[in-house]
Amino acid sequence: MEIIPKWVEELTADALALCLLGPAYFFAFVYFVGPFASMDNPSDSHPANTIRIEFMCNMLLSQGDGLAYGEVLEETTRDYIEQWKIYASQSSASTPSTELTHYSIATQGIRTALREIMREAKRITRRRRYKPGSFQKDVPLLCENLANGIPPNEIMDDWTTGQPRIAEAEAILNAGWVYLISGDDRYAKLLGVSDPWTVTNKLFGLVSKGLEYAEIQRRWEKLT
Amino acid sequence: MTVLGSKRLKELIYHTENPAERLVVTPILDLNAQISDSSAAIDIRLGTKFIVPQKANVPHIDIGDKNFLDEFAQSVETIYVSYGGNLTLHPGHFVLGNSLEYFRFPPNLSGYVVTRSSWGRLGLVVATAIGIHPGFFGVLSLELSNSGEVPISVYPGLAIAQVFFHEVTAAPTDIRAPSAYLGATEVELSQLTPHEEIEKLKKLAR
Repeated sequence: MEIIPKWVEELTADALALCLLGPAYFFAFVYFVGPFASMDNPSDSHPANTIRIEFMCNMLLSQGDGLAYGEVLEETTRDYIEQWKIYASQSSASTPSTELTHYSIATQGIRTALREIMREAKRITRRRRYKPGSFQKDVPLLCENLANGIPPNEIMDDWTTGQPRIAEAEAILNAGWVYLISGDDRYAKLLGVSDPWTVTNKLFGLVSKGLEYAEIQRRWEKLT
Repeated sequence: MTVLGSKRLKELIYHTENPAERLVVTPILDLNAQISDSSAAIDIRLGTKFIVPQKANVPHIDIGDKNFLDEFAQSVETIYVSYGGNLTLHPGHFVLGNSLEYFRFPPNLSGYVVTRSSWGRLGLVVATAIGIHPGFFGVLSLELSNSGEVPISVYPGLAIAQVFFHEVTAAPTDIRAPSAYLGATEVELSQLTPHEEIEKLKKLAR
């Protein structure tokens, strides 16, 4: 049976991405797979998206394991994750289907491996993990940049020094998603645009610009 | 008309916590070179994306034609030139580019983009639509053309123009004027739509 090893690969990739990028990976995942109807349908290569979502929600919200973002997330963002968790845990993928017996068996099997996958991902990434403390410190400041139409490439910890520091790529990505989910409309008002599609595209452009600038600044610093 | 000096520019960029009052210019890779103590402007660098009109595909530009923007968009090529690479402008050649830097102007400042004189002396014109309104945010569009008689290579990342800043008297405290180019993060084509006004002008003639 080749299904379970492939599913373990997928879930391990999800767990590693969450460790390295923080909630941004989860937000991007649900943003891109959310509109698809086949959330509950597994395949030979991938477990159902709802299983993956539930797994990631548990990873993000679980406490006391050094990766819990639950306590550092703003209420709106935490609610967003919790709503996805409820949706995923109540999906039909969680209840065995008589038509897809082998997938149902694989789903039950994979559930027993989730804790081990989570633990292993944390062990592998322990030196490069994007920590909740970094998230808590930087993301709210970068969200303010976005709200004011400013690329999120620099963080000014103390305005009296006038010395900004370059934002980490992980912080920039998380700020982009958190701002999008927050429902804050200051950026839309600044643009004078009410169409959500246009605002989202502009926001993606601003976040991309932040990533580009931060990378240029890092490379420039190495040269000088 | 007050032109802001380097000290005031640095205060507005690096020591103004309130985002509504702050001047944002980012990234400034080399502060001392781009805002030198003796200058009253910020040097800006050339970005990496360009819109190049393909002359053979455009019979002419007629802004009275309602489809002209679509047709013009199909006749241009967007190209990316990496840092260290270059783009050659032949005499008479016109290319749209943008500043590497992203700006956000507070409501009480406006600006003007001007070609750096060293480039101008080679025949390069960097900007023709040079005014920047209070409250603008985005990358600056640069209309590059070679008015000289020999080809000129331009290099993304090199300082190519400078922006002078002026205080605006009786400025509104809050500017949210919709603009087609507001929030641009890369070079954009003209969004000129003068059809209604042309129709009005036709009626004037009757």
